[in-house]
Amino acid sequence: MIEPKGFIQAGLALLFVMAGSPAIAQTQGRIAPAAGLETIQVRENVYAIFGAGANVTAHVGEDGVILVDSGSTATAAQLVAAVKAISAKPVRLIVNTSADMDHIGGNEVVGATGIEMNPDLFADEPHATVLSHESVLTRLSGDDKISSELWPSETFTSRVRSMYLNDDAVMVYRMTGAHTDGDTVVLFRKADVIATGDIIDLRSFPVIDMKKGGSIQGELDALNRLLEMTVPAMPMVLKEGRTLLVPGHGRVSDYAELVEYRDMVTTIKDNVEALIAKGMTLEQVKAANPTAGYRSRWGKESGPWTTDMFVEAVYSGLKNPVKP
Amino acid sequence: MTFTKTALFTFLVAAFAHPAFAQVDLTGSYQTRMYEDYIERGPGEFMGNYTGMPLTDEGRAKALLYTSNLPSIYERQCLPQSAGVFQYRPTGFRIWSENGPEGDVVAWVIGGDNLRNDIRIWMDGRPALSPNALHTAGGFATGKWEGDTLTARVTHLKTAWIRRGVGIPGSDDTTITIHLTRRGDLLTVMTIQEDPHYLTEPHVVSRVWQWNPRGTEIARPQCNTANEIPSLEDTGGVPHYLPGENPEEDYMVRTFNIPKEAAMGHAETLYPEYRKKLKGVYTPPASCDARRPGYCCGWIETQGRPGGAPNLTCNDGGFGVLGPRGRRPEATAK
Repeated sequence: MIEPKGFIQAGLALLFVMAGSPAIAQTQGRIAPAAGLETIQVRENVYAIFGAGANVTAHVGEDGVILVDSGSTATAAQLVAAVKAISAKPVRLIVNTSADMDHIGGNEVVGATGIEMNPDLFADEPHATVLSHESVLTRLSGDDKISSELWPSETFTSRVRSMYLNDDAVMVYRMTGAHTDGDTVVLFRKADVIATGDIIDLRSFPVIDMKKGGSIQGELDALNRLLEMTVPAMPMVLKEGRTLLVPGHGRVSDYAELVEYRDMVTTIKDNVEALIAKGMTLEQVKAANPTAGYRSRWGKESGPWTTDMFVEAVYSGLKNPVKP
Repeated sequence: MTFTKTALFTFLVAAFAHPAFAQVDLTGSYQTRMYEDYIERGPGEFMGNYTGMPLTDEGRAKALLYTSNLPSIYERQCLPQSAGVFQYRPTGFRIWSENGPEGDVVAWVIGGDNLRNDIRIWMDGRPALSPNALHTAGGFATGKWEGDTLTARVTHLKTAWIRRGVGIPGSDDTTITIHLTRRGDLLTVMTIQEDPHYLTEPHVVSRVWQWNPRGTEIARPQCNTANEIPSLEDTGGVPHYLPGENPEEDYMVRTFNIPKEAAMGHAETLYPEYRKKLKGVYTPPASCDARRPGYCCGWIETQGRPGGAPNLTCNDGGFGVLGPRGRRPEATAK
């Protein structure tokens, strides 16, 4: 048995030996886990935090911390710890990419650790600014079960809301009508990172929540618009330079995942469209399995978002297209 | 704990943690031996030919959605290719080592001008990447020496076609094991690809590569896009066949009398026993040269060209009578 003192000696000796080992930098730094969440550094000043409900993107700099989404209420304290492990600066801005509880649930707790973008001298307590599309506030304020403490403090309706923070251009794009009617994506232009919200969910077929204003055509429009904003590693295909994407759920990704996702959704939409043209009912379309080739990778047979629900959303969206 | 025990413990731990020294120097340029899978390496495989691929129903379904217009769309022209596809490519590759300050090998790198991403095999015992980390075309590979064979396991790969030009799919959950064994001037490369979505069992490829003493100066690849399908520009359209409507689905049947179930890539067809099942069912096309059993006419478009099978007439699958150079008469006349 190794005695504690001996163990320390051995450990120090081992560290000494390993210090001589080469260290080639990983492109994706992994931060020590904070309170059960995982943080991956995707750029010098941008981090993706996993495990707090939806993915949370953190952009840090001289002005403070900008968060895209605040995760779920249950993990809010863990998210606070994870953010503090990244930066001692206060949270200044939270952007909600939709009204889903796993995106806005931490607004109160995480926001309370911060300071407004424009400090309100008359406010009782400082609180980070919470920005979203107007529809998010409409959704949340219309639901009695949701505390007003989770509501955004500032909304917008324009095509884009741009700010210059942390020495970076922060551009919040309206892409409503894809996953829900409150969708936004956030482009950190200098860092070249886009937080896409649930327009991309790399775990499954995209969740098109028709009850909240989502639609298949809105989803495709958003994916094609994201393709215009996302730059691949080209022409120098071996270099690391490229736009990085932090999806609403799933791993850090880039142009290649976005193309595959767009092509998958488009192909299935085309398949359903062809079956509708043959006069098939929804049940007949489901039975024809228009997701064949993609179902194993993206589909779920149970849970909150099944393959059948996705097919139904596509079918309904094509039969009753949303008027722009 | 005595100093001796401490030193012994340290030595043992360090011996396992420290990068292992290569058993064989893999450094060099290697060229393909074209007689292995000439069709695959040269002009490319026939559409609808999934022979030798243990596809799942999902894999077959996705492959049959494929049209060769798909990789031509603007968004896909420069997308990275599968890490394993170099086994099917006509061009060579180069292997080099990346060394630490004391000369120890930190990584072996397989690079080539058509790989579009190097496969960097880390030998320094680094931990696995998080499932949430970015996937790349070359993936994340860690290796170890097993005798004189370097064995690497590659994870974190992109969604990419497994073979060239026919749409056989690989998912982003795919993993590849690579065995590199050098014997003199010959390098045997075995890749074993597993995919939970598209393969019912591992796809194994073993190829022998020839060391090239003149070296291969790799032109680091660059890729630019062009608008090859103007009708799709700015439409968001994605070329694909509808399920059940791929005209190439029967190509191997029409052209070579290959039973459809064999062409469509079922695991059973990988094994020698399957030949017994085919006996009495398979009839070679009448126009095939009996001296080349199993090869039939080769790739139709190469007939009459240097290296192509001479003086053969082939069943071209209903695309017209071939001319002296494998072209349709009207094309030859121009």
